[in-house]
Amino acid sequence: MIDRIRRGIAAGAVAGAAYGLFTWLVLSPAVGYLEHAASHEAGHGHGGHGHAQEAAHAVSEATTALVSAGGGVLWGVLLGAAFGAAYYLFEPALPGGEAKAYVLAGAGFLAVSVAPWTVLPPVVPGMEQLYGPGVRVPLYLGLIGVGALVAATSVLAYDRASAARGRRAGAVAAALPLVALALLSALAPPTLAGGEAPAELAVAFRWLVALSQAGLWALIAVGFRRFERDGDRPAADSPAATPTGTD
Amino acid sequence: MSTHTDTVADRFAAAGAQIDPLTALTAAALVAALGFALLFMQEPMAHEALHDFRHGAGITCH
Repeated sequence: MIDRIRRGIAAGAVAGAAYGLFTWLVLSPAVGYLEHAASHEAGHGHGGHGHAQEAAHAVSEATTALVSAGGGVLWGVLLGAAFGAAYYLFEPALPGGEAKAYVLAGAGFLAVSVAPWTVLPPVVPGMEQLYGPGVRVPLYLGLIGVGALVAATSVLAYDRASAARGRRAGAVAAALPLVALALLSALAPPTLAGGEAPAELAVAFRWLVALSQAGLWALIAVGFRRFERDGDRPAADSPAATPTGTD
Repeated sequence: MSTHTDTVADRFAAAGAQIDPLTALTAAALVAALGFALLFMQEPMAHEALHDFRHGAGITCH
C-alpha cells in the first residue's frame, strides 16, 4: 500500500508540475484578462464590485500567479496520493485490464471535479456567487461524496452487467448513474449570477478549466502506470536484467 | 499487476495488517490538519495569492 501511495505521489508531482506550469502560463493570464474585462464593463452596472479589485489590492498579480502555480503542483501531489491509495484498495474491482489506472483517474475526475460542478460550476472571473462560503464549502465536499458514490455505482454496474450480458450491456449500465448525475446538474438551482464577460469567453474559460483538470488526472494515470511498470521489475536497472542494450 | 485474485475486501484487510493504527492515525491527523489550514486560510495574503489557482481548478471559494 505504501508503495502504491509513493508511486501515486511521484506521478502526482510530475503531473502537478505540468499543471502548475499550465496554471502559470495559461490560467493566470486568462483569469487576469477576464477580470479586467469584467471590471471595465461593470462600470455601468453595480459599481464595480470587489472580486478583481480585492485580488489586486491584497497581493501583486505576479505573486498571485506564482503562488497559484505552486498550488497547482501541490494539488497534483494531493490527487496523486489519493489516487495511489484508492488504486491499492479498489484495483481488484476496477474493469479495464491494462487501462485500470485510466478508469480510476476518470472516477477521480468525476468525484473531485465533475460532481461538484453539477451544482457549483467553475466561476468565470467577474461572476458573483449567490451563496456564502458557509453554504458552498460543505456543499462542495458533500458533492465529492456524491461523485464518489456515482463513480462506484457506475463501476459496479459495469462489472455486474458485463459479467451477465456482455460488454455492451455493461457500458449501458455504467452510463446510467452518469445520466442521473447529469440530471442533477439540470435540476440544480443556479448558484452564480452576473457574468460581465462575453458569453463565448465564459464558455471557453469553463472548457479550459474542465479540460485542464481532466488532463491532470490523465497525466497522473499515465505517470502511475509508468512507475508501476518500473516497480514491477525491480532488477531493471542492473545490467544483468537487460542483456545487451537492444533499445 | 497480472495475477491478482484478491478482492477489495482483501485489500482493505491487507492495508489494515500492514499499517499499524498509530501510523494511520498520524497520517490522517496530518492530512486533516493541512486540509483545515488550507480551508480556513482566510488570511487575505495567502488566500488571495491562491486566487488564480482556485479559478483554474474550478474550486468554489470566495
